[in-house]
Amino acid sequence: MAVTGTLKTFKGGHYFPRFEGTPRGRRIETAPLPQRVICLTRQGFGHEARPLVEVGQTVKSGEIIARSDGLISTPVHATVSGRVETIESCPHPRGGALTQRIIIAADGRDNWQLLKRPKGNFEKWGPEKLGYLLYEAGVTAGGKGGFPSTEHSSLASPDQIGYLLINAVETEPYLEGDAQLLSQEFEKLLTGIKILRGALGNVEVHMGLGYNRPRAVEELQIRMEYYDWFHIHPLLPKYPQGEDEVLIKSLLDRQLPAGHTAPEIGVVAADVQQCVAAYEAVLEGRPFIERVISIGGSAIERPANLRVRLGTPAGELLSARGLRSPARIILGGPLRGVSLSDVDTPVLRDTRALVALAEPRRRLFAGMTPGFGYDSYTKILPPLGLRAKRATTGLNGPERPCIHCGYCLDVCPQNLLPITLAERAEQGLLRQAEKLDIFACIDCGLCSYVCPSKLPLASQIAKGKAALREGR
Amino acid sequence: MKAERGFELGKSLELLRTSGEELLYDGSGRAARSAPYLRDGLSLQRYMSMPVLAALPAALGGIYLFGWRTLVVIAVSYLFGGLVQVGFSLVRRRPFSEGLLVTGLLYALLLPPLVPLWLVALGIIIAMLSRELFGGLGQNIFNPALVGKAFLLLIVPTIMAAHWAAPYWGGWGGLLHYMPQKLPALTPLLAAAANQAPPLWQLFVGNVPGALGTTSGLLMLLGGGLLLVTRTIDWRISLVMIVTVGLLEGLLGMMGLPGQFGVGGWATQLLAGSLLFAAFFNATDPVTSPFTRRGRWLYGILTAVLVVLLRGLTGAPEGVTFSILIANAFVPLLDRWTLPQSFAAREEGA
Repeated sequence: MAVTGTLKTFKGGHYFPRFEGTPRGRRIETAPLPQRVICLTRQGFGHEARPLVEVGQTVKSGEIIARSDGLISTPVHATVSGRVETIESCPHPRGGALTQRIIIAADGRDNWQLLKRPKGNFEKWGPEKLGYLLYEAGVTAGGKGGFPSTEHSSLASPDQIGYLLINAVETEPYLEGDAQLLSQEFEKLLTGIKILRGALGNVEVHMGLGYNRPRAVEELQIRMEYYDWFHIHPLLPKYPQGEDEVLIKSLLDRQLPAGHTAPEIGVVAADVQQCVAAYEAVLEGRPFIERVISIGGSAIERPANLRVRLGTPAGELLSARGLRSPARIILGGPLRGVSLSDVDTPVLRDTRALVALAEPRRRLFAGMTPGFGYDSYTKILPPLGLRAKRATTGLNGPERPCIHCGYCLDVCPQNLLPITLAERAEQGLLRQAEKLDIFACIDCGLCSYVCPSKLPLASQIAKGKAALREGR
Repeated sequence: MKAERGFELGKSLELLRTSGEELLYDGSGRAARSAPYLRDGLSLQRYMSMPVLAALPAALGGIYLFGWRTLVVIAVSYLFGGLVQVGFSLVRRRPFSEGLLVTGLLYALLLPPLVPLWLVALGIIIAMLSRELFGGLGQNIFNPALVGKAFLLLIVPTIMAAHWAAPYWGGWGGLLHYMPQKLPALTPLLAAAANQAPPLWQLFVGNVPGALGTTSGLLMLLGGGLLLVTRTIDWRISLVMIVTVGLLEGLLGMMGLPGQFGVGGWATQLLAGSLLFAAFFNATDPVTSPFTRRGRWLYGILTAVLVVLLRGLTGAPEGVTFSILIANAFVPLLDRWTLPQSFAAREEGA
């Protein structure tokens, strides 16, 4: 095992301060069982799965209710025991493409159907059996490119993979779930890493960890001392360090080609939650139907890190933690998440947080306040201030034309020209945008964040990418 | 017909009211309509207020050195600039924005102390036109404040040259006076050419004839420092430009070339004229400088080389003004040449 001495990082990015309503350091609580869950048939990476159940049928917690084994996909599980109430089509919260939802009314007994596991020590099972079990458990749906197994869960197969990256550095505001898992479920995490590594055929493992967690680094050093395949990399906790593209660049010094996913170049990135889920699947036989999410934001009275059943409606979770209106509800973090219009949208496998941001209420007289309460990329707003920063959905300024300040170029972690890309995309000059590497954009949203003219650069670029994909 | 006109007037007033309100408040409480839903606390008003804040020491210094007329010059500049801005806003039916905030002050501080007020008005009108005719905020190629000054220098060079004055110094200085006595005062660079360079400390504190707000190196460094520390401007432009001028003047001065290279020594060359002021306030105008990092390096060096050449070869005043304007013209080219490497190779004739 090796710890890199120098702090690794990347060019661009932004350190977010602590915002009010962040559940930092709060121990994981378990949310009460929901009355009703909504299971979408497409979750995480992969295609739509075909429902196996009918309306009226009773199901157990962890029972597979939809699968499409031929396609690149993962099975979908019932996340509570009860009766199937409805099966209908609905738009997917990410992207809005049609998917199906299976609504289950809970019977409150929470009868589990555990996974069938081979006997003996998992370390002797080999990649095939491990991969099959992880596939059945739904763990392979994690990450942007899926987790390769022999069961068509990714574009790549396990024998093409050379590296497993563990992402233990969450840098988006309000996201604290992985940090809590790291300290509370440390044993599960370590075993989970071994399981995932085993499923990939004993590859090299590189773990990226915020340098502000020296105790975790120390603990890992002691526990993993004898494994020469394990490497720890302390990282600067700068957003968006945890994104596949950025993590690969920082940890392996390799560039992920634009528009490709990590498994295609032989790298798999997994987060802490995925390692813990792998442990629970392999050692406890429990499929991936529970996860830890952070609930926070300026419109939440009691922020928390919660262990919730997948499929729990967002509105239920938020109102239990004291949701103040008017607020915008975001599935995921405030930079990469999607705004929800329907509070019945369920928690998905890749949902790290539910954030509720207050809508801006008062106008600020320009120049009359020093601006201590706000975060800014520049130091024009004083970076001091003892209290947590305020965060609303407000633009914090009028919309103006671009003045070429260059902040979006400085902040872009992919070294792109966000303003040029956005302009080209807006003007319909899509070929030019493609030549300027529009597909290398990782949608981190920082260009929109820093823009003093409040231009929606990130969404213009995203629209350009969508138009280009459609045209193909 | 009449009713329609009334309606038009109402519309115009409404436009002025809303844009004035936008100018005074941060964003009128509007929320982000697309992801990301969290946005930086910096508004363009704040961003544009920074140069004004940084130039305040220079403006106050101008009052101390050259009397209360400094304030009148600034007021005239804002008044006539504002008229042009509001006029264009009404004709174009587009809200006016904070562009004048910076231009109005920087332009005034670049003028000679005794400049006739009608010239102040004329110059700022030209300056604002040079922005508005290119399409308004963010669209202009040349720095408006410098355009205004350059225009005056070209049409009335004699008037501009005849209105220098020696500053007040000591005690209450210009605070007790409206304007200084008109004297055949030599600006530091002309004096240096005649081998009468003022002592460096005088240049540093600003006790020399010169433009209203640019004589004091100390106040320039104060304001520039604030802009650098807050990341409002990029050190790659200002510091590169200043260091290059210093190095070149020192080097060429030692070589004893014909012309006026390095007269008075490199320190005099740095502190004299409007070099520091322009390096911190004018050259760094985001609209008229490159946005790539390498482009900014090149732009800083290019401007510095032009300053040294203009000062050395012609000996004419205002080398800095014209250097920056010329460098402004090269900005689109510099940006194209310095696209981040991985993309430059692939871009063809776009």
